[in-house]
Amino acid sequence: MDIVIAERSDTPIYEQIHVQLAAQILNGRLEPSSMLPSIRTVARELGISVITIKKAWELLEADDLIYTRPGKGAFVSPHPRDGLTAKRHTFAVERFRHDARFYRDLAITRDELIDIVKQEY
Amino acid sequence: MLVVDGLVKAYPSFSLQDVSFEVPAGFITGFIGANGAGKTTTLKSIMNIVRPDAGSVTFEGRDLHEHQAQAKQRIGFLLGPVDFYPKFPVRTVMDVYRRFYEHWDDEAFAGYLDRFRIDDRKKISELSTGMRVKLGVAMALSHDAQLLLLDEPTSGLDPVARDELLDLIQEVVEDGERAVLFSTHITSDLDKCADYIVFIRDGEIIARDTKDDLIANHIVVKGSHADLTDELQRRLISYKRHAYGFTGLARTADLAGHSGAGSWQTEAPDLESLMLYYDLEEAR
Repeated sequence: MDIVIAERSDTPIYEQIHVQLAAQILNGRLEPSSMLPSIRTVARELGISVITIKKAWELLEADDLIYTRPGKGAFVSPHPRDGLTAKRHTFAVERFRHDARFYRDLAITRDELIDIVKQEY
Repeated sequence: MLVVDGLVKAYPSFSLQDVSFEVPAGFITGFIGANGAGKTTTLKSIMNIVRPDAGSVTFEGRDLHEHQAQAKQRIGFLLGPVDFYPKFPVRTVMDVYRRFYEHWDDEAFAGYLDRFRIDDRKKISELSTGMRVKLGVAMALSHDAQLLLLDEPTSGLDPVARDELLDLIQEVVEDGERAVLFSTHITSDLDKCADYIVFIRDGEIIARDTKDDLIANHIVVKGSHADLTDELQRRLISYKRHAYGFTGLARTADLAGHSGAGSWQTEAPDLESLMLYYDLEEAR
């Protein structure tokens, strides 16, 4: 499990953690049914507030990417890919909206952008 | 764990007005405000060092001031670095200090000294500021304090010592049993690790919330002078002009639906900008 926090980013820390772990669950780096470390352990390791980590976990749970067992902890869903197509799409759109401001500032036209995507992706 | 309710303390030139907040177990609560806003007076009122004119303080379900002796066994109160008996070796001072506490744990204390690399043969005055703060925390933890009240623990510490102290504080709350109330005007200490924020301005609590919600409910606005219309000014808590534009703070809700024809930009605030712009609001 990798978490890299950008403290000066305008993306809230819980959202950064949410997206990073979501990606690692979806690409299989975090194996289905494996256990996540406790919220308080992650909080201390990262030096981040317990409530922030808890919020990230709640978002992952709302995505059905993890589930929690009271008293036992949180686990990666056995079939995280199910029903996630829409969520992946949302993540990508959100990211693009953020980046779009930058392209507009550079006066990159729609056609130019499409060319860039065709070339680079 | 700690409930402060309606504290009032009037001085000729300053007063605490109806100060109420809670410090829950298992979390770090940051107590922020400018110098002179009432942070230390509040902490001293909690501990009954300053006698409040009105209000109550409940600790572990009982009135703290009525059961002061028992409560103080379970609270570690640090008013800055340890500075009593500076001419004596740590060892000698601790031999006296430990007798005040029923649940003093010699082994735990020795462990903390070891970990913080504090030589107990040294005189208190020979320890660095960081060492003396850590000594204070070690003392509190060794008498099994469930609540740590830390008044400006990081002021005067270098970045390395601050980082170590913040690590230690997070470790204290990790088991979910103990609570930390941490007062500071150096808000960057709290940007990451605080769970709750209590914000005091001129003796009044103006915000108490989870740090995440407090941040999410505010937004920094930056733009050109032309962007700063009367309409936008009314929606801002306060703002500052500079040669090339302005920077201000708004409640996120107050800016909703006001897309603005201009080119202003928004970003998430940190605790420092919250403090800064709320103080500016008062000054206006």
